[in-house]
Amino acid sequence: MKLDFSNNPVFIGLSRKSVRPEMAKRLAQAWKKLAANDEIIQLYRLYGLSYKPYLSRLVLLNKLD
Amino acid sequence: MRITVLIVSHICLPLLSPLALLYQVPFFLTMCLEVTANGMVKEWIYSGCWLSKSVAQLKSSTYHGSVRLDCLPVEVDARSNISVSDERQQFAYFVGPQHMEKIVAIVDKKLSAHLNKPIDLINFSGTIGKTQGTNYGKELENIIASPEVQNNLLNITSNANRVVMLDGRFDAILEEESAAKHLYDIGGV
Repeated sequence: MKLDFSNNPVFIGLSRKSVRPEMAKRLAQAWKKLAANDEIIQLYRLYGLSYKPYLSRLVLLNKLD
Repeated sequence: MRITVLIVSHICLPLLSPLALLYQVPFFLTMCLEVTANGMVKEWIYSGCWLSKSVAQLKSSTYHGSVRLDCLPVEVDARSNISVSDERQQFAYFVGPQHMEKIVAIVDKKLSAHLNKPIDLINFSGTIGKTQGTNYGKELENIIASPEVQNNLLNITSNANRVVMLDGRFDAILEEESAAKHLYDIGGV
């Protein structure tokens, strides 16, 4: 038997060993821009994938130095 | 700069591409596939490696899931579908969220009436299987950390562990939805 149980936001993780803080910030900013323009939703649709819209509070979970 | 990305699901691929184009980051995408016993590539697979570990370390990682990590010839600089935790913030940056991961419980029919939401884990009398090294988010992890749950918790370290669920080792298994679907498909549960 399978039960829907819990939802959990998952991220793209970047190694601190190989990605400099500036690049991580650029990528985070790029991500926010994509999200703000609904481009991520469109990408999911393009590939026939389901997607749950982000909660705005979740975007703030980015932890960058 | 070349970034090697471990793709955990096909969802990540279309999402990383525009980022690379927008900021001219030449992502080198390492697609990780499961290879079946007869050598056929079966499907996108699930992996739980750590960004701070080299491939050599990944081979002996406590998490195996259904992945053949020894097929990766490179160190992993990034991966998708990763939950934020205090430990992981020591060695990783997080961009997203990329997806809302759905955690499901696969429960023995005899006990399924007693497990309908995360908090029910505390009073659940059966054994609970959870893949070692995974993190299912703060809410669920806090419940799992309670002594009542810890007493019943068994770590899953390989697919073989999962398969024995039907033999009575586990009464419930916590798993990400796509991984659970994979287990159904291969007859593991």
